[in-house]
Amino acid sequence: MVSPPDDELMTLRAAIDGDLDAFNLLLTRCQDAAFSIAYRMTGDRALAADMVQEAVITAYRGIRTLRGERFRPWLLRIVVNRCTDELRRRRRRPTVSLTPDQPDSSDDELPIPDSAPLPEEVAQTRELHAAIQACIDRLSLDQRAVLVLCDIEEMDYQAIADTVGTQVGTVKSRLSRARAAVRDCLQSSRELLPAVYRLYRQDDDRNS
Amino acid sequence: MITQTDLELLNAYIDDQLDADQRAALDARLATDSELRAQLTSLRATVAAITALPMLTAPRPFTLTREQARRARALPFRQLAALASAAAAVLVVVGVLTARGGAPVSVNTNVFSGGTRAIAALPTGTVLLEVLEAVDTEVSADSAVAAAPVEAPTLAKSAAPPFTQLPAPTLAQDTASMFAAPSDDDANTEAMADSIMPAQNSAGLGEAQSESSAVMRQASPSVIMGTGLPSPSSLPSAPRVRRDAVDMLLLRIVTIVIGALIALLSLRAA
Repeated sequence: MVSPPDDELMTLRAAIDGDLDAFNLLLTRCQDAAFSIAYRMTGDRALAADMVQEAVITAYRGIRTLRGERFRPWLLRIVVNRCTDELRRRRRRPTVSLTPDQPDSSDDELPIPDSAPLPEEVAQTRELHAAIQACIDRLSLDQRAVLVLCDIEEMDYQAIADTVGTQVGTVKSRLSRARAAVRDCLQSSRELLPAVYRLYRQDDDRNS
Repeated sequence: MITQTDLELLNAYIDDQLDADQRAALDARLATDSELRAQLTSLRATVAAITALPMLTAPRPFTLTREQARRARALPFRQLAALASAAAAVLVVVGVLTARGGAPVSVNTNVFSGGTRAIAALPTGTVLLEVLEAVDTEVSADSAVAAAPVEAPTLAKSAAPPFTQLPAPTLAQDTASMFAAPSDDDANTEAMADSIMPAQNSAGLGEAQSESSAVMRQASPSVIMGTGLPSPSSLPSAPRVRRDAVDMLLLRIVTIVIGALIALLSLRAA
């Protein structure tokens, strides 16, 4: 377990002692990450926001139990678990479509890096992001959680295992299956993908 | 041929999670295995595409206001209601399991165990009758007839009804088992089966009618039970006792099921 730096430690202690401002300060440092994770898990902005808000309330209630752990992975764990619970609940009672038919592309009002991309490039990037999200949405919840924590939050295997409550071996297995599934999913719609993503297929073809 | 193990190795390779030896071994394979190399390339591109997904901006601040924080710390009404109903369910179950015992149970249990020991030591029905007379002068007419070792052919008929009508031993076993092990379902079920199926007992009694001493041993616990109770007037009639026992069993089963359901639902809601 990585120890929090001193300033975070002090803020964390204050939050644990009931200081709401300290709690909010810790939260503001990772709420974008929390929302990103929730969105990648659910594929739905409104639901993701609800999940984060509920996770924040859960975190505030349980902040006293947080000892010797960093706030961010702890909060993200709550977010992932909340999303998983909600998606499972909806799957059991499918009154609401689990994943939107059309990927929610509004997330990709992204600040495209580099200077002044062409509108066509922006559209292509959005299309790619929407395609990737649609492929993530098809994963099982277990695989999705591991993939999101590894490739979005960039946690190491042990941290993921701690977060989802399983063994490192299981994380490896789920992650490899998840990535292979996303790869196959993307390849099945490769014509829709920008050339930059299709490049590796040409490499593959050459190699094979 | 790429196996699942290969896929896991490749992913760990991409994530830099292999130790030096594993990495060197995989590098050696990659140098000669084009299929493995192709897999690595495609997986790398996939990871690159996923990690390139943008970090989203929270659509609103998720920070808590003082009021939200106060409400968050207070137990929500739903949780309170759920906890209350769970507690109520537990109380109902505990109440039903224990409230039917009390004084009669202790009397029955003591008398039954004492009576059994007495019977075990008795070789003949004649001696048994003497003991019965000594133990209790208020023995009921039915019980006396049932216990009498005379007229063997009719004994089965006469013995069977009292035995079935007086499930006191089984009631005692039943209630005693409740006290001894309230959570022991097997014991309770066994006791329930005893009191629910007196017909089998009486059938067994009929088969044994030619052996009067055996009949006496079988019939005697119920007789002893009848004689050992405080007074006939305070004892409900035999069929009534049986119905009560069955009713109690049904009530317990229904209560346990309802209680468990309520508790389960409450805890899920909480």
